Amino acid sequence: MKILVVDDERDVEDLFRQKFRKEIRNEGLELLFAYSGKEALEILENNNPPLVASVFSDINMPGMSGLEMLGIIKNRFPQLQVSMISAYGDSENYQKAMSYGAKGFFTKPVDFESLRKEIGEILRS
Amino acid sequence: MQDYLNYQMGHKRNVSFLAACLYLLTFLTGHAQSVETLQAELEKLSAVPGFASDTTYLNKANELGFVFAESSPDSAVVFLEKQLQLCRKANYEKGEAEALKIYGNALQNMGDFKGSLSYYNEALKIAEGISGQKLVPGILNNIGLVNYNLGKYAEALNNFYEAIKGADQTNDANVKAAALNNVALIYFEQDKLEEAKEKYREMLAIYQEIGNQGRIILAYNNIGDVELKQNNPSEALKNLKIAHQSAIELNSPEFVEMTSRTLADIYSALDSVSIAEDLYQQSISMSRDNGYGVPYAHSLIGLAKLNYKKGELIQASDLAKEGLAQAEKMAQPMQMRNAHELLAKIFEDEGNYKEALTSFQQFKFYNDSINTSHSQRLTATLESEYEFSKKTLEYEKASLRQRWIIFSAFAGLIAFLIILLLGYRNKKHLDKAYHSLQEKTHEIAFKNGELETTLKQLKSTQSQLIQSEKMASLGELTAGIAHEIQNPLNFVTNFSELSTGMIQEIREERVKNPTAQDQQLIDEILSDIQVNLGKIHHHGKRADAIVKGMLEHSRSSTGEKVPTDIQPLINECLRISSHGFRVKDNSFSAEFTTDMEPGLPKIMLVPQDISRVLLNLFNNAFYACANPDFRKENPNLKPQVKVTVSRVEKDSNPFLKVTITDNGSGIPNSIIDKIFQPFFTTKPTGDGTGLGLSLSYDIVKAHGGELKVNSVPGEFTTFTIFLPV
Repeated sequence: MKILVVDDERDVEDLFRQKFRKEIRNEGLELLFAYSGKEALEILENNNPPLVASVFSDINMPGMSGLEMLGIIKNRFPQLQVSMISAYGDSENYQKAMSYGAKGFFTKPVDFESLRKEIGEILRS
Repeated sequence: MQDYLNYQMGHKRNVSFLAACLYLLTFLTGHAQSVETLQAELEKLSAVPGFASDTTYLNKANELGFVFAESSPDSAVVFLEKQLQLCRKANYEKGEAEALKIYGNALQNMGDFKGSLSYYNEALKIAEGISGQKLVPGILNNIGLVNYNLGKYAEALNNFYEAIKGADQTNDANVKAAALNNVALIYFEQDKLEEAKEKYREMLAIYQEIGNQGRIILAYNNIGDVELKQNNPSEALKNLKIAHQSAIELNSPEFVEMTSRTLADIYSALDSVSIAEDLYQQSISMSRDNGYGVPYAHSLIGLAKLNYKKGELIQASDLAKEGLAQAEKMAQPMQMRNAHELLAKIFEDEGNYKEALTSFQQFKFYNDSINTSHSQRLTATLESEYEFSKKTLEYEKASLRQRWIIFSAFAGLIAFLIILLLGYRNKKHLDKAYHSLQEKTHEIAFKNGELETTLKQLKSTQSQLIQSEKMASLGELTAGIAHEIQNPLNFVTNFSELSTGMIQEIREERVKNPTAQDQQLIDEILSDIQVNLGKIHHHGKRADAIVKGMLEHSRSSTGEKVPTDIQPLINECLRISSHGFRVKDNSFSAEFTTDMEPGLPKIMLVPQDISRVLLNLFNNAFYACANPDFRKENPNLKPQVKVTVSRVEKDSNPFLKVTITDNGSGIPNSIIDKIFQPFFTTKPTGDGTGLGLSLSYDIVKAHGGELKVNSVPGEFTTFTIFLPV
């Protein structure tokens, strides 16, 4: 099971790998990372339907924003689950994300327990 | 020649009296009244009570007295005695002076020169006391005539010149002309013929101007006389023809006779015998009819001479004898001499030698006497001439001096006035200039003070503005900065949490049986912890740097240039700027790319200042291409901000060139020149201070660099910073 994480902060990769080390080791979770929306879309385009089960993306990124990317993904791969992570947990961003078809909405600092639950659900589905 | 001189001698007297009477003659010509009409008018005037003190009556009486003085001097004296009393009673000074002068005329006509002189002097005294002194020149002229008749030529000339001078002052043309005539007579007698002619011409000009026909005739006649004496009979003829014609037109027997006689003399000199004869005949008949004694003798003798020339001895003899008798009657030595000279020749031709001898003796006697008197006169003339010329010279000098003094005084006065005026104007001008200068100095001093205060206020306002601009931009960026801090803090939190968990795992592992312990796992975890600690440290530092940067930004610039790598500065500012926009506007999205040449050197700059410039330019760029209104209007346009850094040569000096390009709406040409001006902003009120670009411009300038803008409306805007390496 592949999950794509999109964030311009490169240390997010280490953070996720460590946080989900158990899931990676024991439950067959495979984490893919992209550092911009553009990069993420490229990864998704490689396979159709994409090999990725779910996408977790930051909203505030240089270049293409997470919400923008969400719109594109939902347009191209309507089935793909996309959850948004934002440092700014305001209702406007939330509303927008939901209207674009986001599966979940997480605010920073990320509550990894709820995230783990979410990922666990994906893994078990 | 003797003949003409003879004529001249007789003529002279006649003319002299004419000249003497000129003033009053002119006065009378206007009325042209006879004794009878004057007497009738006086009778009428005396019917009025108090007539004796009426000036009209007294003036009229003087007119009558004048006519009496010329016609019958004896009765004139009686009449004038009464008239004088009346004038004195009436206290009428002008009339009295006039009467005294006429009295003098009468006495002169009677041959009482001394008496006439005393009356003239009395008249003169009164006349000098009357304001305007109008009567003075005429009286002086008459005194001159008495002196002339007394043989005092120098005094006479002096009187005539005084008269001319006075007449000039009182504008009395008649008296001036009369006096000129008299001066000419003296010159004629002194054989100064050119001078005499000149004076006659002056006189002629005056009479022509005032239109006195009789006097014009006289002038032409006298000029002709001079020409004849100068042996220019043809010139003389020209003048006399004019004079004679005018005399006939004027129908004046006196002038017709006079001009006929002079013409006869001229034609005689020209040997035109028959014409001369006719003219002498005319003169003789007119003189006989009108009782002109001297002319009668003159013409008889002249005619006798013509007959002698023709060989008509008897007729010549008769005429000469008649002429001699007449000359003796009139006591004319010249005519007597001429008659005797002719008779001597006639008697000789007749063979009557005894009579011829007697006549010749008589001729010799008169000739000698004439010559003696003539030479005496000449001597007297010569003596007086010296005295006179001295006086003339004195007069001329005095008059010249006087004129010069008057002129100088006048010129001096004018010059003084001009200088005074100029000085006054200059002074006024200077005063004005000084006052206005003073005012301006005060004004300037006041304005200076005002300006200094304003400058102080401006300076403090400027620093306040700079500070508030800084705080505004800081406020704008606070959210971005907060986000910037949030990220590293999250990492610190997360990695420390993770590490704590990892340590727990190791502990759990170590509790296990040593053989069951997974040493590889423990190593893995330990190395992860190490990495995490590194990351915590890194993100801690990162947050620290952001806070420091923020503090630096808010702090006043130290102005100290330090070697700085511009690349991280650009990245940091870009991030802060874009985050700031994201915080404010969640829908904000702008793609920004950087294209930086590798291996750029550190350059000397004030980091806070340059970062403010960069932040300003980035903010503007993002605002331009990604503000909500613009995005709404251009939904298909992807906002893009591109930053490039490269090394360039400018004027053979190395520079770093930073370009910031956005694909926003561009800057209209109409305002592109104003964007660096302080307080110029296109943002809604309250959104911008209008100082960002102005401050940026100043900062770049202060670094020895340049800030330029290039924009194509609807396409892009590029700001370029040049910073010296």
